[in-house]
Amino acid sequence: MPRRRVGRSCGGDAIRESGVSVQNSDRRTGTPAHRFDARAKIVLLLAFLVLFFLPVRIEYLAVLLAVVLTASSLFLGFRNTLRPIRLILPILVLVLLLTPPFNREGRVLITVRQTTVLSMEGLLTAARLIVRFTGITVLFFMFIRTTEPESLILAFRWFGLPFTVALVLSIAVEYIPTIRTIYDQVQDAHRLRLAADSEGCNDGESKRRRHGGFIKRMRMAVPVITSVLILSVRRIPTLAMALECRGVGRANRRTTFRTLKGGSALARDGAIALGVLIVLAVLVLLFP
Amino acid sequence: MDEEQQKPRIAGSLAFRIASLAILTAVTTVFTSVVRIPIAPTKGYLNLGDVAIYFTAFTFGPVSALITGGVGTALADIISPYAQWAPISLLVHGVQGLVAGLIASIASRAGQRTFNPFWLVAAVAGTVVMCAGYLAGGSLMVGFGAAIAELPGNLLQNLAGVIGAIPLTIAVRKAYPPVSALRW
Repeated sequence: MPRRRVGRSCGGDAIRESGVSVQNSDRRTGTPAHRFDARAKIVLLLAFLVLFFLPVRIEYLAVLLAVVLTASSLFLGFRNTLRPIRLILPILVLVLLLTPPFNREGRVLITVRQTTVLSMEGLLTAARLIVRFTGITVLFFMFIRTTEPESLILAFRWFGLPFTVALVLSIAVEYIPTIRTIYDQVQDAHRLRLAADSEGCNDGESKRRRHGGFIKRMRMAVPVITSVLILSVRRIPTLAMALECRGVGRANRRTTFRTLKGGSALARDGAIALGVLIVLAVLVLLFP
Repeated sequence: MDEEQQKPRIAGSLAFRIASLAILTAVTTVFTSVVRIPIAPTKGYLNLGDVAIYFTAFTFGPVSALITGGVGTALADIISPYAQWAPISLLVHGVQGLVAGLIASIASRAGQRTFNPFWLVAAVAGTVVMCAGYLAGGSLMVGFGAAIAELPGNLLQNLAGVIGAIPLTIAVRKAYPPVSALRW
């Protein structure tokens, strides 16, 4: 979604940390949400998502949002909970401004030259969308911040994700910092070369080389990303040989070093998730 | 050295495919979330995720582009504080890569180092898929009004992808000819 890309840093600082610990850079790590089983968390996430999309009254959605915000504040802290909300504020403003013109049914509030500009239905729809989007944003934020990548992949495997896909995911996550480091090194090398080239130029010419229009910037980026791509692609055969040496592709049954907890811990978390689902379902039936 | 001699001995094996998909997915994630081109008038940025998707589609084929495009951009969303878009990115960019890869495969020649007109057609088709997908997904998340406001940004994003991917593909193939043998 370009809104997250245009005018906004997209987690580049987070990737400077190790790829595996990106999601757990939050200081709180010992909360019940962090210890909760990833499989039960996935079920709860899906249940809340379904609830947010149900055609229920907006008061119910507001209560749901309040529950999600409270849980997030408890487990991650109030300031951390505000972070994703601050980032989506421009989108929420857009929703508030652009939804009523496309929903002009119901009681008319503002007319301009006998044309309905704002109606109650439009306002309610905008409010519903804002509450839903905010709730979903905080839900996902809480889910990602309280779940380790390894647990997430193991949980997907438990739900039926094939081993090869899980292996691709975990290797990709491990390689993200490597590719980032390659990009940084190549970019620095190109910058140094640009600086060395412009030593004999006057200030204006060197500035023109560094700045310029969008097309010029894209052209200047091509050598950098070409180098990054070549250096990345050259690792593929080596990685493939390493995987073959470790037996990937053979027919023998795979085992994993790390497994998700089972037994009473899983039963407890599963029961909690089921209890929450039942409560939410009853509330939906009681307050249609 | 011809293409057969250049082809790695293990190309096409399961381990090779896993390695190829994993590295390309990581590249797509980094290009989406880290590599940025500033746009002076709006003081905004464009990322190069679409460049990575189209490069994968033109060089490695539709299956690689489907998986790396979808998973790579979804991972980028998860890493950034926009994880709520991850399911939509997984689907939309995956299909974008698949469609672009399928069209680019038409009349493609192994080791081709010059411009293939089908790349342009593939990029346009990928753009249509991506914009339509995000319009539909965005309508579900934030309503039609806000979703349609994102359309110019999506088009600009894909334009950057097309402008970057085609010369990039030619440049990589010229600078590193064995890359064509890594296609499976």
